Amino acid sequence: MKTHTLQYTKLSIPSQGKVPKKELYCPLLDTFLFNKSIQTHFSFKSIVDSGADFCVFPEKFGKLIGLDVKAGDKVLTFGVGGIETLYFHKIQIGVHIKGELWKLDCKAGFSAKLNPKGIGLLGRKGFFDQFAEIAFNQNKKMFRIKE
Amino acid sequence: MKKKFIPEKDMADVILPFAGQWVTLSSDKTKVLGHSKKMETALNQAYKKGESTPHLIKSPDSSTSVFIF
Repeated sequence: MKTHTLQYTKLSIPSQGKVPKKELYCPLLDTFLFNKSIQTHFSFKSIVDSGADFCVFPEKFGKLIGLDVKAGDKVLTFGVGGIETLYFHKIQIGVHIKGELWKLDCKAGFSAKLNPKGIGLLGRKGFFDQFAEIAFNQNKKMFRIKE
Repeated sequence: MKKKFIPEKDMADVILPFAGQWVTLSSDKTKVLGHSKKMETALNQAYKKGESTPHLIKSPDSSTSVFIF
């Protein structure tokens, strides 16, 4: 069993007026989406999110891999961002962990609310449950994925 | 003993000038290949430069404080 230790990714928030530039550190992984033979021809960031029940991606990324997004299983969710409609499809997600592409079968939700953010959520079902353990060390800004 | 934090890949400053825009980066995330308010435009700029699988990111703007979903 192998353990991968990864560092959080730094993002900078530009200054605005008297508010100085800020830095955010997030547990992010480079991600691809696959639907049979079609895949996203780009990688994008996904947050390793222990607070998310499922894996969720922007609806427009689903359309790019040929999904008829609204034909998926419709689920209403209640979160910090309010009520949201997700459409679930069986896909494969590809995540880069230390330069290695892991392809994972996943029933993922697609959300129109994520379209302007362009970021995915790697949640407990579909991501966390495919590894022996995922742990965060907020002080060291690191996370650990155990195969 | 506290270990010093060193970001894995510091692409933050590479995308900072394009706050609020979609940015496409080379696969090693060191070069900006495209940027636009439209995702499709940023992707096409990268494909035209010969990058078959660019990295796509929406650069945070000044209204972003935290990511909450």
